Amino acid sequence: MNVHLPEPSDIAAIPGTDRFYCVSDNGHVMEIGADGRVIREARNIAYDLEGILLQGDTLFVVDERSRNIIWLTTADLKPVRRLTIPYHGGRNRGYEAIVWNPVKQRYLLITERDPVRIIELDAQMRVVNEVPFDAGVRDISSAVWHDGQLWLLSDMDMQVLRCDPMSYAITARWSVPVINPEGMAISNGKLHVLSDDRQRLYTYELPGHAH
Amino acid sequence: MRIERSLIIVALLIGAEASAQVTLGNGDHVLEITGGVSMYYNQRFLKEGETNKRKDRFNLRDAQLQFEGRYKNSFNYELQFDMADLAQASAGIIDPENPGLMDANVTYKGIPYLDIYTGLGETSLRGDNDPSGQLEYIGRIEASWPSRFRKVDIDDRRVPVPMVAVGVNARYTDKAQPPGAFLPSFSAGEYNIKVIDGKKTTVGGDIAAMYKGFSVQVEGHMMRLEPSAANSALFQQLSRDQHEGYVMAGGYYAQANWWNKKLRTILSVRYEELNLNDLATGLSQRLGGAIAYQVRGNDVMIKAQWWHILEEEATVDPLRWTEQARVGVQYLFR
Repeated sequence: MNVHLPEPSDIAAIPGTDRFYCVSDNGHVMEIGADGRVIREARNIAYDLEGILLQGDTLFVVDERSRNIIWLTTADLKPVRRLTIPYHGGRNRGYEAIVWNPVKQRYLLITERDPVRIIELDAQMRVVNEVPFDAGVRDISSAVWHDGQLWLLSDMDMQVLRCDPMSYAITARWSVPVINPEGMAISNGKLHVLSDDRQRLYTYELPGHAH
Repeated sequence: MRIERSLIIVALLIGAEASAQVTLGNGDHVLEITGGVSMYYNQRFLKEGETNKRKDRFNLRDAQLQFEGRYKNSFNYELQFDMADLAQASAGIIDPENPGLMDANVTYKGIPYLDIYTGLGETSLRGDNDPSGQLEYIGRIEASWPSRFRKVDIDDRRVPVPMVAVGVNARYTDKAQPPGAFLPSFSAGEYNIKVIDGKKTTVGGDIAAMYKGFSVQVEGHMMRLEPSAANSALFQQLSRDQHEGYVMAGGYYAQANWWNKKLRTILSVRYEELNLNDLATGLSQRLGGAIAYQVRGNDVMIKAQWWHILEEEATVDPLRWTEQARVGVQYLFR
């Protein structure tokens, strides 16, 4: 499916629908339909959005360059809160993903590469721990929570990883033959992988019978 | 003593952390500091009778620092310099192809679909224009399939579908000097064709492809040089009837690469052919091979390279050597 949004970088599935929220390298946030067309949009929310998390009526989006987490309401896609979580690694190697880990009751903010770090934040968004992630992949481009496990996507190595929610040790991995896979979502028993360069969303049967 | 010191530096670099890039920011304004160091040992195999071995040496190739900043979505700026070249320049050896100041620019991005750019670090663009006052006009068109093509030589992602990029370019300048005026001595470049007193028209094309760790690049350029002076050295002392007022020069290279993820190794072969002056007999042809071992990705690598001269255009570019071997190390902090 073609996504009618330049340089899409991550997606979040909207439960109970076939629609997605999507962020882009240009700092835009959009809701897209099952056909990939934009239903509504909020432009220039930030500079380089790379990660998105939908939690209830709130969207959390992450700006890689400014190290900002931005809260938006799903009702009107308007920013209601911003927070800077400093990180002094490469400008274009900053935060790529945000996900809620209900097992640990922590938000996970994940850096792209050199090094990949999982930064744990408590429910009030205070940094409480940093975990080096050295699992034989060169980068992480997206993260989602599904079925009690953390799922990660590697762009450079074109792999989907399933990780233990406590230790983040890898419990399974699969190859995804997609150019520049930057975003991932799981919904309705399907794995959706978003290609930035091709502006396409690929849908697969969820591997590992983890429906 | 020098060898020992260099080996110690190499050992230190191999053991160093690669994730040394630094970014400072306050949300709207972000400044990133990156750079790199590379050094090598070079060994040339000379022709019989040649005795000057000055190219057999350790050399600091790059010692670069780059400051790259962005303010909101309005301004990008960049300052990049190479301390190895600056040190050379301070000793009075100025290489116009590799000036110490590599980039110094500000780009305004506030107008949609238009970038406004100012400030170049190249030596040739510092100070005044040459006496002709003329500019060079450059155009390029490129396309890629099936998606945006990353401008890299090595397919270190093992792309699952074949990817191709094609580009064509053209350049034109007329730097005919007014009476009594001359171009600066360094402007002619290594082969006396970089900037000429007269017209220069260049067309070129390139193609790049990659698939599952394999990649190829082919690039060619052809230029028509029309020197103003009837007795220009480019005419090789031929008569007007023979040279017809112009000289053709150009060439191409073809390079193939293979990246093996498991072995963390890149193998490359490259063929180059140049005809530096079609009025002079002969061609320059050389064949090269290289291997790079990724100690820590592309940021820390050990490299070995070999060149073999197949043929030389002796009247224009005489060489003292037949083979060259080089072993080096590269450390990028970015």
